[in-house]
Amino acid sequence: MNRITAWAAFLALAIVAAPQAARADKKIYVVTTTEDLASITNEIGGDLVTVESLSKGYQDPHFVDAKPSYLVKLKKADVFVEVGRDLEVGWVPGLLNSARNSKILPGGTGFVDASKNIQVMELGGPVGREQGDVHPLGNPHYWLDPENGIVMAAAIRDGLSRVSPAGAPTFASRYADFEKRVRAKEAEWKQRAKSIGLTGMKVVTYHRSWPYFARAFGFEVMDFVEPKPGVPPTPKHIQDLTTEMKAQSVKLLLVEPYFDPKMPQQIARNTGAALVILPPSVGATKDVTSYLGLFDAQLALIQNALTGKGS
Amino acid sequence: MRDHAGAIAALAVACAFGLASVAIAQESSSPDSTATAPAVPQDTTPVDASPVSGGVTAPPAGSNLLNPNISAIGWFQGQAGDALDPPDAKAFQLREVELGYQATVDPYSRADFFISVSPEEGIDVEEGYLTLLTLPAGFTAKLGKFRSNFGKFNRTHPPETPFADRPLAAERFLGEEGLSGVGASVSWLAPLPFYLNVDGEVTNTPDSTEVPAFAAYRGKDLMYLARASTFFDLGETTNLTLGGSYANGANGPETTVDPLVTPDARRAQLYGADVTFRWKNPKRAIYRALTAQAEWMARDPDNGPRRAGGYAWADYQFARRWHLGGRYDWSQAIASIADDTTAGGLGFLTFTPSEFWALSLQAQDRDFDAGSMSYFFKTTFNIGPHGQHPF
Repeated sequence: MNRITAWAAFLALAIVAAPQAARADKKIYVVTTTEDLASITNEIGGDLVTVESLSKGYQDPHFVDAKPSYLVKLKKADVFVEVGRDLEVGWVPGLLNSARNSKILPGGTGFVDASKNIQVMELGGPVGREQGDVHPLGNPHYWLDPENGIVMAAAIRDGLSRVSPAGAPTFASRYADFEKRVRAKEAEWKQRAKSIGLTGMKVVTYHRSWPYFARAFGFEVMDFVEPKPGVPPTPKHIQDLTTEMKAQSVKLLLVEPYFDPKMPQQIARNTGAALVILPPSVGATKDVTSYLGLFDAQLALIQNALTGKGS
Repeated sequence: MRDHAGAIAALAVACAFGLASVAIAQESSSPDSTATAPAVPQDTTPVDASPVSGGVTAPPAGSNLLNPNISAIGWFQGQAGDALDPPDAKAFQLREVELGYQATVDPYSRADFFISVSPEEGIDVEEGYLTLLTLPAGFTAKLGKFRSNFGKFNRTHPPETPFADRPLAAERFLGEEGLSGVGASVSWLAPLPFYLNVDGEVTNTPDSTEVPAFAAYRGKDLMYLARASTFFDLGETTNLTLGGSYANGANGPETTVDPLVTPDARRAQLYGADVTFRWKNPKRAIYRALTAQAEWMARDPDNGPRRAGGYAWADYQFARRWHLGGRYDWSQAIASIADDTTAGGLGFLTFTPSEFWALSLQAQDRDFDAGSMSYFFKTTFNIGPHGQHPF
């Protein structure tokens, strides 16, 4: 009996103490779905926020398991930031409904859809599963255009300011600084893309992840390894793609790190195109630790591949 | 009055939660008008839909935006063998069509309806419940008809399980469609640094024709259910879910010798324990995964011996579109005085052309001692908005 009493006392203490401990930390606790969002939130929030991402940058953001352990984080979150546009439709809605935190439900003060003011691409075309696993609300990989990083930062700034009006001047000032740094780097990145020959190039990618990146750096995505979004490649499609890549002298093949590289490696061998396993997000590789660093790393990998230094 | 105390208390608690839900939500509403989307996938009807031809005026396109998400799952099955249940089961069956309607009701709640249509059962509201989303202190609550939170497997709708049949113990104790009830449910996520969830449900006791473990006798005889579950990440690639469940429901009338006395209800208790292990490399999430689950349950009625059963199954995704799995069944007969134990199994090979379609070949030996085999071809296919990935 004494043992039962001791366990009950321990449990009661833990239940009472845990929220107290959490409250002792005055920082705004932000949970994001991706590490890109976490990086931008850190840029805007600075010392006023503690940020955690549910997924890692090397995960396919379409296919993240909705683990119950995420509910523990979401339950105590002051702010939740998602990419939106149905990117996380397979795992986020159920988590939010089960998180017991009305602040971060859509419509709540702490809910931030980072796509709120994004001009999304591929919106308004035919929507049906015969097109593959399409996103009816537009292509959600918009963070891969640094210009959109500024728009995302504004949505995050607004969300943080709603939750903490006292911090709003800090968030506004940090946003202005972030915008300035992105614009400066943007000019540098565009110049680099031109100098390495990426701008104007015809490129093949595995998934339809890179239209924003292509728009930002002025290259053309000619075709995809997937015949349709979410549909694995067939031998016939690979054969046709190989023929087309040779005919159009495609020199670059971009693949996200969460896809099996065997098929792209075979295509690269048969066409002579340079294969780049390109990190699509912060955290995809150990050296990509910030949103600004993501584009540096991507362009460095492409440059190495195009100049024969390997990726 | 005392006989109805449980039901009245449940109603009072439900009303209190409803009021609390609204009060909390009003404090946390956002001025951000663009953040009013429901937490479920949006209606994806194109907003530029034109009025239909032929002089019929369609409603304004914008009205579709408030429609619920509508989905349908079809379950077609072919079967052959010596041990079909029933023995003269038709070779081909459209086992079930499950229609789902899901949407937020208002800023405080959401509603989920799942209508099951099948040749055998006709049209049945499999689930239809209101979930209160904005309760304080880690609570949510459900009101309506819902699948009972007993064990891990019971919550999965039959078309969405990996199997063409149901595990023997689940069928013998909880029935062919599983345990569900009409009533109220409260769920609490403990404020701990790890996941610990506690559920409590008060529902009508189901009929014995549907759920053999219990037997509804009078309308006021309620079923009480409790479940605790916890989850641990063992590492980045592996995790473990543990659960314990308890249910207590009516089990028909007590025997009485005095014909003038209305007999009280007997009770039956049901205990359950479950463990689920998962492995998946997040860097290659779409190619390989393993789920292994074991579940045990025992029934302890007022007027009979304790009977138990269980099952263990594993599903190994060995390629992007392929799954291989098997299940071991063990169960005592629930109604037999003799210790009538049966052991059997099922194996399956499943091909998934896409997330929305699965084709599965399955072989079942329902009783290893009898050695009679049945074979199934199960295919499920769904249309509608992208739903939640199972976990």
